[in-house]
Amino acid sequence: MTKAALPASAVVTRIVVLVLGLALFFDQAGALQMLHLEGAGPGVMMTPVYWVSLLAPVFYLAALWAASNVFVRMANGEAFGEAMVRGLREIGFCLMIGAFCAAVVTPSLVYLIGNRFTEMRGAQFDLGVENVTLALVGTVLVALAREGQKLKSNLDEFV
Amino acid sequence: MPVRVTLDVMLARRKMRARDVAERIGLSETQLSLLRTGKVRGMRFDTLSKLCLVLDCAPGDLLEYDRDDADLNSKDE
Repeated sequence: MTKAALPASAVVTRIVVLVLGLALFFDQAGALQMLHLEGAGPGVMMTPVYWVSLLAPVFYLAALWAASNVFVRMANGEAFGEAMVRGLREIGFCLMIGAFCAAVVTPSLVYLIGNRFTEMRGAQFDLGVENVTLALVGTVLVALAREGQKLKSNLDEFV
Repeated sequence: MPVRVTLDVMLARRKMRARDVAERIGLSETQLSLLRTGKVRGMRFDTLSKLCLVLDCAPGDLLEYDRDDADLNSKDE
């Protein structure tokens, strides 16, 4: 398989991912007062919360990066169907994991960090519409990838 | 499946080797072997056309149908 230059669509997608990543960093840091120049204060104490709050968005950005990989694979000569199936699966899993982090992992960890890991009464949930929707979209994409894989297997049986 | 591929017969009539035919129509030997033994789900029209061209025959020379009334009730998988 020959290596081709990155296609424009992949470059644009990756630039968007990088810009969003930087925006996320400054947005979260600002929200948590991490960039407070006076030093000591609530910002420093909340550093672990900052990292925890990055979990879900990082997976969402990974989903976008996975989308750019589809263009790269096709540019490298991989068949459209194969690249698409892999892409759908990767995007789907990233969205599912991101939504799970946003709905369960992040609230639970923030709760634990808030009380310095002294108390945990079950998992904390944030079942907002956006989290559930993203989880469902991820699940649908993974299901579509499976169907696509089946179809591809069927087509492969034709010579 | 009641549709049989009779490629072997045609190869023998034309005194051609499967390897040469596979090479000329752009299939691997394995794929052509699967086709000859009926272990494929189907054949693309372009593959059929190439076979007909190389073997100088018609589609009917490469396929045979064994009548089976149950075919009307078979469903696509």
